[in-house]
Amino acid sequence: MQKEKEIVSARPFFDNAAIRNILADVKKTLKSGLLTEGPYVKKFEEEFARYVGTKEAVAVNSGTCSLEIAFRYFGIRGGEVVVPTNTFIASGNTVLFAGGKPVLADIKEETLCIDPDDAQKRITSKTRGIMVVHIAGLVCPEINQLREICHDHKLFLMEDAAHAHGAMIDGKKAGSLGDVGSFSFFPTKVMTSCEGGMITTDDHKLAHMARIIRAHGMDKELGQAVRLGYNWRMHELSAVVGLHQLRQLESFIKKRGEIAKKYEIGLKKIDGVKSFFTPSNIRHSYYKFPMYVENEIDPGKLAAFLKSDFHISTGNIYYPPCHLHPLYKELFKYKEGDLPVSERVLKRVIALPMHVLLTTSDVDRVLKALKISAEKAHIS
Amino acid sequence: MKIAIHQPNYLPYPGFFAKAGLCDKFVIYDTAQFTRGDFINRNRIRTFSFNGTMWLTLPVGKKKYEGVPITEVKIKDEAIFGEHGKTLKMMYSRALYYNQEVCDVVGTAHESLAEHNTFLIQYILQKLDMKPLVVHSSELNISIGHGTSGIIDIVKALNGTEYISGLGAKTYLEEERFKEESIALSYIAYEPLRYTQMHPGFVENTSIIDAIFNVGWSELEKALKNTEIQRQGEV
Repeated sequence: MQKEKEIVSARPFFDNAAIRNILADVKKTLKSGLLTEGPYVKKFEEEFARYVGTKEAVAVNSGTCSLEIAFRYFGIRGGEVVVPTNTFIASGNTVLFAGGKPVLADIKEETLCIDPDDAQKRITSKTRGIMVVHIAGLVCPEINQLREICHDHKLFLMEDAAHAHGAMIDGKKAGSLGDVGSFSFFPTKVMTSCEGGMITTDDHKLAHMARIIRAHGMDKELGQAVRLGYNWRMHELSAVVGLHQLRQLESFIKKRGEIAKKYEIGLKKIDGVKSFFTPSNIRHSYYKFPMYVENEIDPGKLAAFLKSDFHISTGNIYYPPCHLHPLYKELFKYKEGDLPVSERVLKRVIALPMHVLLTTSDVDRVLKALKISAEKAHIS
Repeated sequence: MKIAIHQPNYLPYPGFFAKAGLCDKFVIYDTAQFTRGDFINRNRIRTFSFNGTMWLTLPVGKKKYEGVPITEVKIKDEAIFGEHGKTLKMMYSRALYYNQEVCDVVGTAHESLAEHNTFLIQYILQKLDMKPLVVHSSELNISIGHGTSGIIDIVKALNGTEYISGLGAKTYLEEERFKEESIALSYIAYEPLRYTQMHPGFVENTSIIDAIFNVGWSELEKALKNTEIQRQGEV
């Protein structure tokens, strides 16, 4: 019997036209000899800022360093930043690298994003800012409440928009809703530059400092090092890829939205699983499609059956949550039960395959496999 | 004095403007005969399906105008201008360089097809910072012959010393006639623009509208002004 092709959970997309255009620009770049900090990085920054709706965008070589640069700018050394526990570990780590302490907050089970009330409870005299993560591509619906909290306590609001390229709330894009936005262009993301990241902000001083920190702390005008910096520059070939992906981003989001719609309809017909609600004022970018698995089904077995019986890969968002990683348990003495909503909900969330190359028949196959696997993973 | 000539097409493809940008005087050949199924009253834009396109067509009525000068062609339905503006918005509002002004300009009503197309061509030339003197063949007050003779009539009337043609015309232009009249003949070496379209796939030579919204005026201007000309033996 022929083995069914594997359906992967995420992958980047380049059509033939985009590949041809990228190769033409790569050739131009190689011939120019300008391989870093050249015209394509500048163009990518300009177009990204224009797309997001901020005055500035600064390209760097990962989403992680875009976070750390912003934290360094805000001067968090010796201070605290409230970070949702439901995020990739790099979000909290960058606070540590910048000399601060990540204080983890619980999430709302309806959105998987930070719970503003819980975040507020964790504000102390040492708190410098709050990080919101637009998880899976859903702009945190309570972003306005978070902004008010930050305003009242004189804190910065950092948006980790690594999942949320093009996601919107009330017509405004992720990355333009706080004091600073951070994006990742890792290959599995909604758009990619192979590796890379971007800082978005209306704060010209922040952007200026970011350009200094990304290049060994050197102020180009002075020709001298003014800050401790790293080599966090994005190179031109990454910018070429990012630029062409950005120009197709809207069609990627449209396709992801269509796949999500099919999943939502299909999940209603399967017992024991359900999708998450997206408010009508939000455009989801569907970096991932999270599905909640009810108590009568074992989510671990469900994912395992999908993989072993149907060659369908799934993911999680994010389990374990940051506070249950051994590193954070050791550093900050976190223990089970500290952030109960995330512990209860996240182990029951599975991310279904989501990428632009998924066909209608792939989605149908996932739904059929899900129905069978859910029955098999039923806890009797 | 370089001269180029073209019918007043509807929202033409980028190559049209590459040619216009290379000349000193650009002749809108509005006394040419209207032909159906051409690009005079229609052009293609992208849609969201893979390599998908749709036609934007200005209705001029059945057969009525076949073979008459383009200057005499009237647009049948005044509401169509606004509809085309709305269609562009629907298809391109998410493009990186979408701007409402272009849709509003496309949505401006005109009674005459030539007048409407010329208005759009001149708007685009201005935005691309291309400054040929735009001349209408209907204003030349000369008798214009057919084929190569007609072209030579126009070039001579404008004191032209060089005629810039599209490469497609090479098959029917009588090149010797230009030599006889001491007019240099050049062809534009236009390569269809390659850029990343927001819509899936890539379709070349769609209306310039697609490139405007996908890459913006500035990059488009740069790309079109890079077009070179191939000269056919010095006169």
